[in-house]
Amino acid sequence: MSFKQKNITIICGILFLVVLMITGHSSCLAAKDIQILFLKAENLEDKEQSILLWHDILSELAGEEENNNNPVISERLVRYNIVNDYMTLFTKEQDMDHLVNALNFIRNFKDSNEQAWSYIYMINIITESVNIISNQKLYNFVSNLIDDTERLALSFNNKDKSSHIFYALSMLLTKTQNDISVFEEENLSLVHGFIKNIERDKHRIHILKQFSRLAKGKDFYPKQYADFYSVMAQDKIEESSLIEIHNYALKEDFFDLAVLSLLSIEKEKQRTKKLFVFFENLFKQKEMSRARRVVKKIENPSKAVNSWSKMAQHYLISGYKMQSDEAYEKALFHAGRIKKSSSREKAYKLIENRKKAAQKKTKKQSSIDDNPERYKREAAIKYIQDRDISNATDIARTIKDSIYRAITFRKIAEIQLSFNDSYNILKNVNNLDKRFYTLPEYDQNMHVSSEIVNAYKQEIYEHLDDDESGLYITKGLSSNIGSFIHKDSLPEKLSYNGDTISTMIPFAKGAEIERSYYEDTFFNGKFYSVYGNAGFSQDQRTSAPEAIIIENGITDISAVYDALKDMGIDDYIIKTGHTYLLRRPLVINNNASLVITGDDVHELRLSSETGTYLVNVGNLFVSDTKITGWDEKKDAPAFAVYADKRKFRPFFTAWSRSKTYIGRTEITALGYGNGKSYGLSFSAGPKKWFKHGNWANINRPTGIITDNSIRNALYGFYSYEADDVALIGNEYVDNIVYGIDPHDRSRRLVIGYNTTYNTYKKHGIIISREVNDTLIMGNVSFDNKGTGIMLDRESNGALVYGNTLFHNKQEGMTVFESDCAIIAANNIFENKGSGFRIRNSYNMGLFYNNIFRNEGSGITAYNGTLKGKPVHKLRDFDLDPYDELTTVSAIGNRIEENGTGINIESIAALYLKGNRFINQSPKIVRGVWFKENPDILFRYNQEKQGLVINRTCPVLPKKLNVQKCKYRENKTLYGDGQDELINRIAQSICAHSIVYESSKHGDMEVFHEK
Amino acid sequence: MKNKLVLFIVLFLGVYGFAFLSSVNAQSFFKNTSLFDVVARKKQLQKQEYASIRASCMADKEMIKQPVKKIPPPVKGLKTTEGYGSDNSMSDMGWFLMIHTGRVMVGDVVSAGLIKKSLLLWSEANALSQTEEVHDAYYALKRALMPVIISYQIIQDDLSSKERKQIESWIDPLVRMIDKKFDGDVDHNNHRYLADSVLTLWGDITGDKELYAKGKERFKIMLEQMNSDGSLALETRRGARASWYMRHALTSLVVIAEIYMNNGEDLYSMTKDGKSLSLAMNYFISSVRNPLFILQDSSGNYIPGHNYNFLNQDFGTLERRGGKRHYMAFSHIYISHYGSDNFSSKRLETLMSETGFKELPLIDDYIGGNATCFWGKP
Repeated sequence: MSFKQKNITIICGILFLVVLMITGHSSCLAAKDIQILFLKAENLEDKEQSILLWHDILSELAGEEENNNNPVISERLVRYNIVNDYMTLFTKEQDMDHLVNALNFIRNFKDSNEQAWSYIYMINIITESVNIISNQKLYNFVSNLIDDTERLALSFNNKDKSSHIFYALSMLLTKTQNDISVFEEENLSLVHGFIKNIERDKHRIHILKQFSRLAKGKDFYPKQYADFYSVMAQDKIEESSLIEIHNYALKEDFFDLAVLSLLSIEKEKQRTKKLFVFFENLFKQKEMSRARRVVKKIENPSKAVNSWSKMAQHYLISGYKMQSDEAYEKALFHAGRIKKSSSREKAYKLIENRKKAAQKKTKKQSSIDDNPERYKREAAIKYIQDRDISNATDIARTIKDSIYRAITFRKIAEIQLSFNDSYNILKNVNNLDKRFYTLPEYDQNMHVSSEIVNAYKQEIYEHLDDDESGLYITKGLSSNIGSFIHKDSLPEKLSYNGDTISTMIPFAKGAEIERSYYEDTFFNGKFYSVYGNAGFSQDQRTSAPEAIIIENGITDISAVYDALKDMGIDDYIIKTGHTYLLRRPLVINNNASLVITGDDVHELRLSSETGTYLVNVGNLFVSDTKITGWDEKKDAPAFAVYADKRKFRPFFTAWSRSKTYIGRTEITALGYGNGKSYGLSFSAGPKKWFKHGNWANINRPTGIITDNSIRNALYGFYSYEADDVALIGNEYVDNIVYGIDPHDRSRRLVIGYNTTYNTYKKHGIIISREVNDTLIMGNVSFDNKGTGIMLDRESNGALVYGNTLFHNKQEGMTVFESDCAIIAANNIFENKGSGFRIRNSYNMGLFYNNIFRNEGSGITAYNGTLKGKPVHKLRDFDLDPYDELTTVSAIGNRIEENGTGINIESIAALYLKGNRFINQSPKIVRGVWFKENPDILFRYNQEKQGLVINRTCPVLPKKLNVQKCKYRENKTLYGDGQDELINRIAQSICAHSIVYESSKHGDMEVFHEK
Repeated sequence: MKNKLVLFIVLFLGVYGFAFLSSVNAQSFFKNTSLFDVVARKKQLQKQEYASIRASCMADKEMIKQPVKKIPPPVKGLKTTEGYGSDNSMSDMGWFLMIHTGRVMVGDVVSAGLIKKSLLLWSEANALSQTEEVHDAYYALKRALMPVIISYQIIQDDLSSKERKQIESWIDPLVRMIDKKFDGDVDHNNHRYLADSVLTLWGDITGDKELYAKGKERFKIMLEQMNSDGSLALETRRGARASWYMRHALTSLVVIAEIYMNNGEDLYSMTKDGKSLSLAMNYFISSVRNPLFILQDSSGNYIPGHNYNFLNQDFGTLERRGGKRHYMAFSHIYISHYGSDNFSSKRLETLMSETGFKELPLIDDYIGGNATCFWGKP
């Protein structure tokens, strides 16, 4: 540092302190002084000195409160000047240290675009001043710069920005000295890949010409390009030669080459003409993805308007609103580019007319009206309107078109819910004024005050404390409990349907498609360890199994297929018309999206022979198509039964951060019996990835699955720590173990309007292991091997509302070791077991359910010891603890013609009010309590207050936070007479011990106080 | 009889008054001060310390590429050209006028006579009037008119009113022709700036307020177009010639600002959201000093000329070009306006002292002639 500079720095330092003390501002030099420094730095001969000075200026600028005050001397300019000075030093001294210094400086830039251009500048200066091929160290340095620049370019969301970087990189790589390439073939070959990222025709043609001269006759690109590069290397490029290549590419289905050959026609008019004709052909063939990719390449504004508006019209008719909007925007954009005002106006008119025409005709409505099985749908709807769900579903299940069947079942479910919906949730879901969903007879004046409830609690407390008999029976409070449910926003999600998905499908914008070794990504690890290297190696017939990875951007199956073909890979995806057979695992990486729609893909088959599956870590959008696990040998879906569960079948898994949206899609034959591979699985993880990141900030998987038909999966749906997934209006049929199975700490799921039937092994719907705050509403679950709906293993806080559960081989609904649920307005009939079976579950509100003709009891509730029972021998009681505590408030239920009305054994508390027993023979009630107190039910159940029966002192294995129940906190269960008992349990006041014994009643294990 | 006398007197006074007023109009109609004050500058050049500048006004033999007394024959019209570039058939006439206007400034009567003769010859032939109505031919016309107007302005005191009328009747429609719009980029980029600089000059000199106002209007539009770093996107996308075209734009903008300055209105200081002419100037200088600064902008490579390699900027603009002209001639105006106590001007002066100022005089069509002679300081 010169003496003068030191002085400046010292003066500056003093000034800095004074200014800071007086004003609190950290800025030191005035703009004028910075300009003086700038002029000095700019004119210094000694670049090492000028770099020091630039850094001082940078510090000064960083200290300025608003850099905008100094637009003339921007930080960017100063940073660039530092890079420039380093490069001047390098040019002069050829010392690599200057390059390393420049590199280290650039790496700290916050703006990756600035970084990329600085790297390009460096590469240009280096290759201008040195023959890098003769200097291996320098060559490697430049190669790394190229890699870094490419990586940066790929990370840009702005295509235009990255296109310019690729153009510059390609220009650098095709540089020659005395007609000899500055780079070795390994680097030169990169240009082949870069070309497709160069968006502007003139830029691309320019690079193609340069590259072809160097690449002609080489073998560092896929062989289908050989003739193309020969043509492009000629001084005069004949259009006819390019057309020949285009035709060859079409014949061999090399779509990217087919496009590139047209894009390489130099005369703009001819190029546009050929591209437009190509577009029209693809549009006619309904190759919409390809058509869209061609339209993107049409630069002529009038032709672009014509083609984009056509695409937009198509998308709108098909219900792909977001795609349609974007296509219209592009059409408008290009219309704005038309210079002649009369032509511009004409273009706007064309766009408007096409939009109007499309709005008149939506595909969804016509597909419902035109379907040949419409008569079946109408008959089914007629039955359900007559409240005959059994016949309605019998008819509906004969509909052959899966999606038509699924949406017919949904219609049945919707109509049935409208009958079940005694609390008018559907009408009031969007009513902001409502705090509660209420029955028609709900009386606001009957809300009990906290004073009354406290007094009542005190009364019970005294009795519980004094009474040595072990049982306290009394009248309940006179209140409106049971006639309202606290409002929740989750029912809003019931409006999701296939259109929700189709309207949100984004516009594919291109992504990177990579082939990767199977174990190179965390996201395969789980499957790799389970199925094993041997399994995948054998299936893929290679010692190094591979996967396809989608990185950065939005793409579709057609584009993935074309990208693979372009790489010379023709057996990872096989295309037959609009059917695609995927033969390698496909991973949608973070920051990438995959779109699969019926627009292009009529069916995506996942080969079971080659270890195929889909993994989503980004975004997946599926609509109006089919996804099928495919047995290549049988040339048929890979259908399976329970005995096949260990045999590999393709599956879909969504990991953390992913969002999955599937609508109106037929999903068949997925899943087998290994972790997270069950069919459609949403799981947090994978754990290996977790170890490398800050997991507090990584979202769990989520999504919407709606209006689909899901057949013969091992589990139709499975989740592990998933959040906010909505399963709405799906048909789950012939699934092997479960229809719907959210598991392990999944939260706030909405399961609505689904129809689950004919599950082979177990239940239609089950939520299990701390799956909390779930809404299960309006589902129809019948003919399953297990129960219709089950809440299991501490799955708390559920609202189970308005479901219809019938003809199941076990119970209508089972609640095992799950607490704090409101189960209301359900229609449960003709099941082999009980209507409800509740075990070790407290804070249960059973409101106004319709329970009839079940072979077991209408309601069965009991405590049970699981430990030591053979049936629970595999249960891990640390992982799945339980509390032998059951409390039930049953209000307003209609209990008719069941084996028994209510069967209560040894539970801690029961509140009964207004339950109606109709033709309930031979027994209305069963259980020890009623045996000892035969008249209590009749004494109080029919009265306004209802009946409260509390154990004085149930003993629990551990201290429980039994009051932590949202339905107690939001007062839905307010005043049911159990609060004080729950308090006592919470405080572990009780000293008495109650010992139970069990006996078998048919299939059911019943417990008795000893 | 009395009535006849009154009528005669009225008629006499009317005709005399009209003639008098017309002559007054003709005198005040055409200004000597527009882009620069011709009279004041002539006077300044007489000073002893301006000896070196006087030499520049004369231009040395090396600069004179053709027999200086041979008037180039009139060109009927300018044409469109194939490929990059524009019709240069006005090149000789432009050079002829620019050489002689410099000389007239230091009292060379022969040069004044040659200019007069040439302008009368060309106006009589209605030269350039058959210029093709296509944008590149019109661009050549825009470029040709500035030296024509400046040379006319400098010698107009030596002309009769008839001669003036003849020449003005020739120039005026040509100037109005270049106001034409072509529904393209040329209506918004340096082509338009050049057109507006000519329109402003002619409007100022002839008192046509509508034409004169175009300069200020363009300035406002230019500030809207400008990016926050001072770049003009329509110029800086031009590949290897990004910096080149940025300078083209600046030339005409400086001409407009100077004309307004001489009329008491400061466009040099006009700003819009922190953007100004000096910001654009700084951008240009930064791009010359450090090509990395313009690299990204230039990667648009839009009609870059014969060199597609935008990685290496064409800085030929800093050197005297083939036709002896110097594109940096406008820097004399800018530096003359600001002096050395201005950041951008200081930077420009430093740059020019390393380059263009080593090969004076700087003569260029875009500023109408010999800039060193018109604005240079000893």
